[in-house]
Amino acid sequence: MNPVISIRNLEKSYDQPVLKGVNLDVNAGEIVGYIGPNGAGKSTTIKILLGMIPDFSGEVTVLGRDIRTDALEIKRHVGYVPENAALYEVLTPAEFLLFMGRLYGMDDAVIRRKAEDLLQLVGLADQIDSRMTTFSKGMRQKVLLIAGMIHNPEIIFLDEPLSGLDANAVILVKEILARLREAGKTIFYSSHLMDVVEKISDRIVIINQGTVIADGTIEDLRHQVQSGSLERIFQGLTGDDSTSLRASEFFQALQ
Amino acid sequence: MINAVLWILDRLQGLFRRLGADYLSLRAIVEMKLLMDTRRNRSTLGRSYRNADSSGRLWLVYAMNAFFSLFIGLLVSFIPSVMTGMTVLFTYLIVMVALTLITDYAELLLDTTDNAILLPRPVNSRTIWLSRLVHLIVYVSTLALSMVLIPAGAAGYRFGWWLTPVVLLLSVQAVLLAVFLTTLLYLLVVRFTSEEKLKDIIAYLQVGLSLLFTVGYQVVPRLIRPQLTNLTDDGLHTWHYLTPPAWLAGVADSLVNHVFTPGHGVLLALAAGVPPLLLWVSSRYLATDFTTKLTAMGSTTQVHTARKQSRRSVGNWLAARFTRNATERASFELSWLLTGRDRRFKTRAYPALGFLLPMLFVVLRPILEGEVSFESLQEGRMYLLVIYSSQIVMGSFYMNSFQSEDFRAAWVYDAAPVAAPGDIILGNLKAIVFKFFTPFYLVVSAGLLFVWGPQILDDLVAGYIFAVFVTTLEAWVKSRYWKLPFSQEPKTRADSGRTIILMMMLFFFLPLCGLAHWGASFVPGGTILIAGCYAAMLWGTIQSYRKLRWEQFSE
Repeated sequence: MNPVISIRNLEKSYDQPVLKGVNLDVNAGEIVGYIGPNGAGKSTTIKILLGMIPDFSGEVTVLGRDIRTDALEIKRHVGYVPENAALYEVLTPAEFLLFMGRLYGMDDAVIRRKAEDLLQLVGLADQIDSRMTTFSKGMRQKVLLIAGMIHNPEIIFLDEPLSGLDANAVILVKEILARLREAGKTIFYSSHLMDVVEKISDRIVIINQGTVIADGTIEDLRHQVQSGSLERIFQGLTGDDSTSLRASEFFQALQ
Repeated sequence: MINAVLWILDRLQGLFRRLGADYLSLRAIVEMKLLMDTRRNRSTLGRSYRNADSSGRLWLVYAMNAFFSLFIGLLVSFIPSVMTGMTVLFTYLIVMVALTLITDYAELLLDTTDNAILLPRPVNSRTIWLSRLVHLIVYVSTLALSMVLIPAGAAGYRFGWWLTPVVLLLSVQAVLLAVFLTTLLYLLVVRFTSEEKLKDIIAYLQVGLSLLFTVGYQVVPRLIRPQLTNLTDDGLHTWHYLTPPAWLAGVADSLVNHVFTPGHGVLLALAAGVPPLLLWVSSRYLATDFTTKLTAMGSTTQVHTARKQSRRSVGNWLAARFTRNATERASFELSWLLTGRDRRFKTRAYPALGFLLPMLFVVLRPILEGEVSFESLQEGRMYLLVIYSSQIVMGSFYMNSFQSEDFRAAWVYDAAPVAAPGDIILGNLKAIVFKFFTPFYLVVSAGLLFVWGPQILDDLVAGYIFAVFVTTLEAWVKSRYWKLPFSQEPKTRADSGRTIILMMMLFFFLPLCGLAHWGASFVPGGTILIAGCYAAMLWGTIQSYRKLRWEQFSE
């Protein structure tokens, strides 16, 4: 089976190198958890995969197409849920989703029907025509989730999709991701919430300082580091094992 | 400068303690706010400066104020009438301070972002309120000082150096007047509204006040112009008692010319009495309410405001008819909605309409004053001036549509499969043309048709096409990279290079085209030909828009 995402020797620098030769294949129907410390290059990778950053070196293909030459066609078949809840607050969910859907060339009636159904399912039916200025972070995140999936994409990229969601909403999103996988969709997402990543990912990719340092199922990784939870594995792999010492020093300094 | 302010505050700490503030906290907060001022991009009178190294930016604002005050200083030294010269000076001061306050007030006093930092700390609300007030006064005083120092020196040079401190003292009253008049307006608004709608109303208030001051700035000099030409004192008029700058000028007049009429006594009483009265009224009746509401504003988040938006609008109807594809339509409708709701857009764009009123004044004043008859006005081609100036209004609305508080939300254009970015630009342009320029132009046309009759219909059509054409051209000229609508952070306004090009456009290109039109209007069919040329050029720029590629847009 051909991978739906293929990354070869991906390098990208701004002032300093951010990605230093990333290699990665993702197969259809996988849920890939992409984790790493702050500044490791997670969001940059996702933006490159989406065709939002055109200048990089290396080979990147998504759905069998070269991201450099076919970005437009790829964008039609992938969805994106950004991290920082950036949307036009003064619009209502109905208006925002209509706008988004149109950019994907969808029919107005279809967008409206889907928007209503989906907002209903995440518990925002009453707010469908209210401006989002007053929405909580979790409510906005729900709207962004719908906006990223309304065109029924093959691959969904999620950047911290669960931030700001309450416990019930997290469970709901996890369930939704599981359904999407059953339907053969590929999900690629970055997160800091280790316990969630551990539970819902088929595969975990850990990136640190611009390179992939671990790639496999949670069992593989456990085996590799001889350690229990993903948090411990993460700590072991990213080389930060001085945290408990630093915590006690921190406490000392408060005295 | 910060140290100087803190030194003064230290001398006054007893006062602050008596007013119920925790002085050390107040000092810390004020110091922090002043420090941030030197680093922040504040929009002073709508002009902002890029923060290459913004620590010197505030000094740049002061330097510019000083530069412009040179002209006021010149007026003060050349106008023989003390009364008139001083009225000009204080009008300038009050208008400038009030304008600054209107644009920066929300940031200074209504800034609830520090609520999140300060409210969880052991600081009482009176300390917070007082530190905001101190900050405001420091900010306004330094600004006012930079505006008044040179004119005050000029007055001293001419009438004796004892006058300089007097002018500075009177300036304090002028600043207080400006501050309290603005405050009173804001406080009244707060008093009679819920905090939920407060910011919306303030936005409209900002629009209204800027309009008022723009007009005032244009009209007051014209009111006193007869006296500029008259060049001698001719006693007091009724309008002196009604305009605050004249109260202050009256005091200077008494002192310089040693005239102490009952009229001057009234002016002195007004100048001395009104600012404290306003202070008393605002603190006695309104300030407490203001503080509580402010505190409430930042800390509560109302989740369920059941204010439903209707789904159909004229915008949808127009979008369906005047756009070519789904992307263009999406962009059109987005602009239609955002321009109606984005406070930033409203406060920045609407005041441009104020430029029209002085224009009417220019056209109509000669008639009103009987200098020119209605018939001779009809024979002239003054309407071309109005037609060609209306492009400025179009340009202002269009330029502002590229900025938004939610500029980060423009990621959607990068993520979505949009093949031709020109569609987004054109959708936005059309929305602005239909929503703002067309109604505005219709009103202006109605006025012009009333005076000149249907024979100028072809001129009006040509002017309409011209305004849209020049707007499409401006986007070409002004930037190296193309920008998407609502994708710019409001702070980063056009840099100076572009502003120069824009200025050249205003002072060179618009008049040139107007002149060509004027010439052509003497030839039969000339106006139609001009309109045809504009239409062809507009068609050309639109075609070039459609060919835009993503590479031409900046990151």
